[in-house]
Amino acid sequence: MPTVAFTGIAAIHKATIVKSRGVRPSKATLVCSIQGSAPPSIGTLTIADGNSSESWQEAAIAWAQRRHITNTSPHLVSVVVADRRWKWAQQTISGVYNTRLDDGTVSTTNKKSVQELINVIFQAMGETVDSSAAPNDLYPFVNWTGTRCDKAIHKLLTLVGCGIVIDYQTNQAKVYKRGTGALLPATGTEIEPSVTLTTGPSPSKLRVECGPVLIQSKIKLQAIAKQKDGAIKLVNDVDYKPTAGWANEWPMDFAGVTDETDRALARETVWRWFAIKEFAEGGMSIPQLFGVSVTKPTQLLPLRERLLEADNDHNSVQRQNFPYIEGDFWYKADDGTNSSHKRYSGKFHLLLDVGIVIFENPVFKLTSGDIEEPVLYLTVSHYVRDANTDGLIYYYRDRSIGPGSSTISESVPELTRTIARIYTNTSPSSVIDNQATVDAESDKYLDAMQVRYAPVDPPTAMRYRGFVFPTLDGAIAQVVHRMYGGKAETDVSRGYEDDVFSPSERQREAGL
Amino acid sequence: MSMDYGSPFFQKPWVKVKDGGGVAIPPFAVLRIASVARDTTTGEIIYTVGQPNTTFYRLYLVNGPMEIAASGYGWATFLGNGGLVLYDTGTPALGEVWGPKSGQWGLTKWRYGFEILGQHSSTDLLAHAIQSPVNSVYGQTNGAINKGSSGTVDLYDGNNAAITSTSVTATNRFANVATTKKVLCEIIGGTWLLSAAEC
Repeated sequence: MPTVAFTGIAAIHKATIVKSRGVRPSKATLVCSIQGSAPPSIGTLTIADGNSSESWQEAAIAWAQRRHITNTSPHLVSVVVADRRWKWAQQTISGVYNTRLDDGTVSTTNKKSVQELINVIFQAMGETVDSSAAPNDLYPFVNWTGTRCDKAIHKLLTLVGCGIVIDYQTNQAKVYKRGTGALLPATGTEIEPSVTLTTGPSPSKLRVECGPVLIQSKIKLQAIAKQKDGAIKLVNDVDYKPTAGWANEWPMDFAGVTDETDRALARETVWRWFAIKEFAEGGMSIPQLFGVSVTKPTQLLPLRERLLEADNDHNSVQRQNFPYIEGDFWYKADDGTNSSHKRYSGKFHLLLDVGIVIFENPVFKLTSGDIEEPVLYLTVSHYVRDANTDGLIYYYRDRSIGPGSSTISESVPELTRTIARIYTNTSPSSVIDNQATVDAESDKYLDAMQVRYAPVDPPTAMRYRGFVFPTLDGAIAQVVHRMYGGKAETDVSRGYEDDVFSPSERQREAGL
Repeated sequence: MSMDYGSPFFQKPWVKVKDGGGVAIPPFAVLRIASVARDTTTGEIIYTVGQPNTTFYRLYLVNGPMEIAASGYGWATFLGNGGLVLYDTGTPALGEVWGPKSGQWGLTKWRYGFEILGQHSSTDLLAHAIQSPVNSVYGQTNGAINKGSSGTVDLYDGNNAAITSTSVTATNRFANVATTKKVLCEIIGGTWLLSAAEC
């Protein structure tokens, strides 16, 4: 004799229990007589059929409605009970994990795999979880600031092709890998042959869209200056350049610039402002970026505050190094000697968005007492823009899974292709390219996408007499129990959700 | 080494100078001060300078490492804290005293005003030196200078060689001194006074 019971509710005439995957609770709709006193809002739902049973611990009454559709007296009531996942939406989590350094590696200070992050969330909620199916070698960036736990779990697991269920037999949350799980149970109580459906169309290609490509280069600079009209020009093209040129103009005052405003602009910008000219080796080519044509300095903007190269700091924490300048310039040697590819140790700052270097003090060369433009090189990391669209160049990883041209793309912006071009003086001598690492990480995300967008098994479903209790997993998507008139039946669907009267997975996940 | 205005180079007391001679001034040249005035537009004190001449001066400026264009502006220092200065020939050595010479930008040996600290570059003819005001000179009377009178003293260098056409006017407070007598003069309150004389 099948029974359904909930703490404090007597005489349940009819029940429909829809068990589903995800962070939203499964729901049981119980039809019962109006109770003498209100039942407790939190209790245990028990579903039993002979020797087998299942219970929902810490289930809660979501709502109740009086029904007027029968002539019974007293009237019946519908009570909707939610499993304990109702609590997940009422708890929050904070923390920042898997910060990426500029060279694309995950900072060791807060590195946690998906599996570890899931454990962190459940520990915060005071629950245990079987997270063994979650990847232990993927490190997505998360920034939780009072984030609802259900949302955090959903976003984290969806990205890696996993999901979460409650295993009511063990009363424990369990991570499943989508597409992997049990077959429809064979109980001998099957009512009708199983239904086999077809999968929907699969895309021909899956793509992981990574973050914008980052390059580290040594860039040759050229002197620029600002005019009264706001224009920025090469230093020899400004309209206040003295007739005899800059050779004998002391940058301490530019006495040969006669107009007072012009002189102020000269003191502000001449030999202090420098802009990108080309790469140190000459030209604008980046050989590591196949098919990307760089022809103008603006394609390298914006510059970045830190280099791709990193070193450990005083706390043994890896930190990205800062941009630096080398070159041939008068380094304030008393005798007027110039440096020869010497590192500049004075102060400067970068206008990252426009690629301008501003020195605190004038930087120039002295040749036989004459002032000349210095030869300066800025080692800096930068983006690359498309010559035609001006959009940033992104790296992506594709996987073909079938014919056609449709592509489904998912963004994993923290995966960044980085190319550090190391120089000896003005010649590139080696390259540190993390392409292989990014490809390997991207492949794991592609694996996750593939089980989601290209299921191998066709959807199937079966109806059983009485209650059967298969565990939801990556294959068994929905179990529906029905009890009415002393009879019971169970629908189990695999690879899809069979019950059309319940919110679909997509509807349940809306807003997450 | 610091590369900004806080560097030792810029800690020297630089003064703004303007070429008054109509010729370009090389780096580290010794500069005769012709006049000094305040620029009414900028408010800056500007020293008009030129090449040393036969007039004797107790103080000179020394140009910085940049050339000053003809009639152009630059920055110079009195070299009171030491620094680099041009010389003409020879090998400046620690302890020697060199000084300006009429018609040239570099110091010459045996003259007045610049204590040599060492040679910097024989190629660029640069020496390390420190300048101090000249308070005592050696020379020969160009005519008798009697007690209470003033007269011309033709200057000699430290090697007892006459400095062409260069003299000071000295006052004698002691006994009469005949013409062509070697004398020492010291400056007291702005007046050169005979302090010793050949009998």
